[in-house]
Amino acid sequence: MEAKKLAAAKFVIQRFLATVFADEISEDFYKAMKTDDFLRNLKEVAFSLYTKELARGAKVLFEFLDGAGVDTHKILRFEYADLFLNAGENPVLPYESFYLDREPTLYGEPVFQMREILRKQGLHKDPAYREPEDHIAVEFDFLAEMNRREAAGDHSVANVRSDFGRRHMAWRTEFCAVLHSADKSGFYKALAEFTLGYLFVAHLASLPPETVFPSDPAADLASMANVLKMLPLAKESFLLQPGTIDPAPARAIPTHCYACGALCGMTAKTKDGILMSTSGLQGDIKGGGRLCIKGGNAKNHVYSAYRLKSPLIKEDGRFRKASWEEALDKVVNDFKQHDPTKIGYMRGNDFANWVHEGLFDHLGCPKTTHRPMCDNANRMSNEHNLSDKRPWINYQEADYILHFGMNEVATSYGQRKTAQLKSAVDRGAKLVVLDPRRSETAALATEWIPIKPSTDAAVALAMCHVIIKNGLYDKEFVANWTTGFEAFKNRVMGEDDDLPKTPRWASSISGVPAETIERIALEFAKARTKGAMSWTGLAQVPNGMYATAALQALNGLCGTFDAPGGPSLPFKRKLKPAWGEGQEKPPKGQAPKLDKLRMWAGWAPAYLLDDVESGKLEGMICYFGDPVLSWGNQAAITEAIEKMQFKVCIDAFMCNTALLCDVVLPDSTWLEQSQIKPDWLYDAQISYWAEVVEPLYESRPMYWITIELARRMGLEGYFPWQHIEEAFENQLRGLPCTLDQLKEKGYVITDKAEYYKYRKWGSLNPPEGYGSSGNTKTGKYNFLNVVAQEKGVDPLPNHHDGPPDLATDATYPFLFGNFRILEHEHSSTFSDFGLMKTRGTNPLWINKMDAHDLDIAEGDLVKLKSPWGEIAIKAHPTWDIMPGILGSPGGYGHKRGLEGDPKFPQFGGQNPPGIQKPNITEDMGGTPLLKYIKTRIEKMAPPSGG
Amino acid sequence: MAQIMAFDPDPEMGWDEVAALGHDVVSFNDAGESVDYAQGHKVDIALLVGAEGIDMIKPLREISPNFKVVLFCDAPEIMEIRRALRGAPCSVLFKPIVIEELDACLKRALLKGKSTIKGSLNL
Repeated sequence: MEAKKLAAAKFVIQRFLATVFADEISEDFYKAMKTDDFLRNLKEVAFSLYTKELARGAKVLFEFLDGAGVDTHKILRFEYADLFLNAGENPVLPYESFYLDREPTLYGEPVFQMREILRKQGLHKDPAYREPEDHIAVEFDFLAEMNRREAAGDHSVANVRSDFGRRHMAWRTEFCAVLHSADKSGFYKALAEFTLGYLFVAHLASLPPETVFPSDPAADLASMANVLKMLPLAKESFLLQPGTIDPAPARAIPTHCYACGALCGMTAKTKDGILMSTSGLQGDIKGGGRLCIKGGNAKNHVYSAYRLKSPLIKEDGRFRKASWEEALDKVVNDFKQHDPTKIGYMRGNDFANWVHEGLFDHLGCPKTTHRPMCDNANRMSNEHNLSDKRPWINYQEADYILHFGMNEVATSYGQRKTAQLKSAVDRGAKLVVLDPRRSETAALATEWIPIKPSTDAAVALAMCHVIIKNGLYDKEFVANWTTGFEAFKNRVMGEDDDLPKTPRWASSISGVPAETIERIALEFAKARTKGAMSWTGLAQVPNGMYATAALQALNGLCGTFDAPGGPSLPFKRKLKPAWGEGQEKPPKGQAPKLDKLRMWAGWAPAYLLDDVESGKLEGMICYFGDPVLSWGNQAAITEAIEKMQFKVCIDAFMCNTALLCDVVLPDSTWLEQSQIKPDWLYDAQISYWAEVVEPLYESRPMYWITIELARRMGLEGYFPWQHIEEAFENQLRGLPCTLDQLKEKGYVITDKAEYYKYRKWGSLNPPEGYGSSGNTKTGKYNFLNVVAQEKGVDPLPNHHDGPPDLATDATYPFLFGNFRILEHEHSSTFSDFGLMKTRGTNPLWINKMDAHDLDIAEGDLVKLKSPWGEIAIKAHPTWDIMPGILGSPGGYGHKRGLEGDPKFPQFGGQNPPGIQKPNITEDMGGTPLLKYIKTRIEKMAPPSGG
Repeated sequence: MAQIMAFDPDPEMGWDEVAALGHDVVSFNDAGESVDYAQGHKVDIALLVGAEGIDMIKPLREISPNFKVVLFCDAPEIMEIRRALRGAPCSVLFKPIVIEELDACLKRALLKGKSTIKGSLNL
């Protein structure tokens, strides 16, 4: 066959393939495929082709279309969302970058290669098409364009077309197999067969005729093209545009990490607008030039193949693609059907929170954040007894470091601090870690002291007992900078309750030997420079607030606040409002406090089912967070969301909560949007987050989404900025830095670290113009919690047993606690292939003696049961956890993304905290009891054949 | 230059073009003989044809978990390609072989280092 005719035939088929893979099938196109003429011709050609591979493809396509019913087009839209927009569990990932190493991270080498190929042909991808250049539709469209040119007489492109076709054939073959395995509709299975048949016949047609004799692939292609010509295919390239675009210059962009709350400085390197790598930002106070594995893998987060790409609307229980206009209109119209005080607003992160909180606070929506799921119990003590939730220890100068229930090395808020802790241990500082688990920090420590969960208050109080009894406390500091010492002393010595908090008493509660408690108390008191601190290990248990207060009292007794080696008092600059002169900030509405705990009132998410069933909540807008995996009992939270009449999720990935929602809006990741934020770690700085890459696909930053929602509600006047940078300029008014300085360097240090700042301030609270998360009403350290006293709550720390029904018993003899790991952050990093390669699942830690007693070996599948739920999980017997205690890293259990993808069965874990008791928290701050779940384990039979 | 083991049940299949790329090619028509050969000799990569070739991946990976293979199909069936991808081949190519395509595939596969193979897809 003449080359021009063959090129013309291939042009038609490739344009057809580009069309069906570029987007969902339009109704017009579907109708055209359903016409009698087309179907008759398709059937005829299917039975006349010589090459059986293409004939098979044509036949299954005919059979599908011929049998398609009235609802089929709708079903194809659902299927497209599942397969191509990551709404489903088994996405097909139509990108050459994926198939390069079969790793689900996109924007790899093939994108650069495609850009260069297009450039050489005077083309570029239409920027309005939001997929990358190595998308299968773009590649087919490029081939179609080359064939169109060849058919039009341009012989110069023959080699380009031929070379490209061959070099990019193999991945498209694999794509067909992936598509075939994933499709449930039958249509895309048929397309997979058809595409594979075409690729093979095109391969044969590229060979000398004598090689493939007696078949005539060119004739088959021409026959097939004659049928497809009947469809409304674009005559000109619809994904490519004429003109070359030069590569964008390589850049090194100073910015900050937002993978976790540490907010370390980061240098992001880009090439032609694509993020290539991330590394630490020198001089930044948080990272000190370092990044952890999460920050270092930021590229795999942004370019995860599982990103949400388009707004999605649920119909008939399935998602379909929607435009932003349609999706936002639906959100606002549905929102208006409800009392806004019954629509909860959940924000899991605080990126540019002033804008979205501004809207939802104005609307009167009850709000919740990460806080009441994390460490509110700690805060009910620290934010009232001193000035901040978590004053970090000055490790650089510390000789003695005491950690209760925190794993600094793995969960550090700031890599600079982690490095300083390791250096301190290297130079001989003593690090003592009390934890039921030999965490990474406990392994680094001079001494690991196993302790029963929720008994830390007893040990800390007994240490205080030793220090007071021996007169080893800092009498000057106690006299001048504390309140409530006498009452506290009475409590510790047992003068108010006839129960001296002796080491022997604490030992009987905690399992820590009395001699050990006495020894570390004396060591701590006598150490020159020292500090004690805790985190969620003391929050997500029943006695969280009091344990934190008892632990902090060690610092209060020894006067370590702001001393060298002690807990350093935060003082970060306060930003000015984003609303400048003449701009009106939206006034706050009357949002109800949904849940009243003994110390805190607000929306404590663990009570979601109660709040929905009692009518307090009818709906929810959930931004960046996965309540199903993190708010408590998984079945109860799921039931609550299902019962809601209005539910919207804004996220970069299809989380478990999004699956339950009616509308899902694709958020940009933190590397695709900008913000400024004051921060502190010993020194104070203002940090800048750059928009390192443009928002991918149809994702949008929350800033944009908020303003669009406000516009539809007639509230655009409250959101007046032309650009987000106008708001940043407003926020920086009167502060010692400019936006240009921040952009240039990534941060500006506003205040250098100082010791004993409170002496200068005359208070433990920072002065005007500075902020910290708490406030001591007395300006001093309060041994006696004055806010608790006002609320009628016992203001002094003590040990309290948890509720009787939560205590272990003969049926449920183990206490389970989840823990954090360095490789992951809450539930947000589980589609990052780089991180999942290092920690792709979460086995159940069990002490080796307990495992031996239960005949459980490494990798055995066990049933973890509580009275409120059960899961199957693999066991990991280890000496690194106390007998009687079980543990597992949290955050796993996604139904979608890498964990849910059946192509990668090696990845995926469970959500053990999801079996905790529903509708319960510790009773002061509303923190779920993620580390205090009574359980039993049963060995399960191995899978058949295994 | 790589040590290549080639298997094709078709006795007519010649591998001269591959050898012409500068590689040492040892070819077989019998799967069992191929595996036996791989057990006793250094093989950088195996070129395997058809369903029998897919079946050979498992015994070759028992010899070395990082054994690299390129698969060829001369009458591609989608279920066969799905099965092939479970075995983590470097690539699945069509027969007749296009030598430029195979050359590019070999260069990439051999560049990736001795201890790495491309991922498997559970299809």
